[in-house]
Amino acid sequence: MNTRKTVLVALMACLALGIYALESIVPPIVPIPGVKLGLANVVTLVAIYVLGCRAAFATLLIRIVLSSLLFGQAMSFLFSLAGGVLCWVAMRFASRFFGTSGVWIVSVFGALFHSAGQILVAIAVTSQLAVAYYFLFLIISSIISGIFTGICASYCIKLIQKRFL
Amino acid sequence: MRKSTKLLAACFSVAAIAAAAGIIYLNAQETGKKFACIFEDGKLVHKIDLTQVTRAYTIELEGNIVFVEKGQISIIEADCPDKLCIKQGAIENGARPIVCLPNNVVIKLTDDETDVDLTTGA
Repeated sequence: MNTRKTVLVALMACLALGIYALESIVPPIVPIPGVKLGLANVVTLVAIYVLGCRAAFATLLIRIVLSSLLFGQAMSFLFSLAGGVLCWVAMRFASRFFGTSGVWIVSVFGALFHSAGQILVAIAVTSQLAVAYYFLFLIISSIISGIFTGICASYCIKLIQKRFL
Repeated sequence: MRKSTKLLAACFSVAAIAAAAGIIYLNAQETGKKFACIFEDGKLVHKIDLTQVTRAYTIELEGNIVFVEKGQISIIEADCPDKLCIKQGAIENGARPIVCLPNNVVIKLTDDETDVDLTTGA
């Protein structure tokens, strides 16, 4: 990892943290834990395409650690970590298959796996399988928000690849 | 590539519709559960027969206040910032549990057969 890339990772992590902070101010629309737009994932997605998978993982980890320290409740680190890592794994593999033309597909996969990770942690923390009921809602919300963030990310990726690379 | 994109778009739509159908199915099917179990940190702390409630009352948990009425149960107070558990409203007899993740509280409904022991919480 050269200096240029290190700086870019730091900048991306900053950006993601800012977006995450802004998004957490917005009150939730649906009273279901975990339903949100996930705009910070745009940054992870862009990082996967522009900086590579490993650098994207670094960005993600920095964001998760800092956001949990700054605005997290007691449990939020576990939730973010499980969701984030699963999301990254899913997007990493999906991005190989679908390339730049299918960013929104990659994003939907990421969102679905993010929700799956969070539900798994929720089941473990509460030790209640009944919590899995909310996964049905999260599937629907993940697909919608995944498409949206995917489209956002695909515009960003195209712009960056055209202007800066 | 174009074809696989279309295929996946179809898959996602099917998944979303299936999830919606699952929600409707679960809500329609799971009825007749009259016992409300309140779990705090994974342990059963209260078990209430909702059909036997004559006067509405409240139960104070560490961070939440639960409101028990005849036939339904809800959370009316929470010390967390998002208050999602309050917005989840009252549950009567469906598959839907009330979940408060910050305080690790789950309220779910069961029928008589799946008897949960209060002392062991098993």
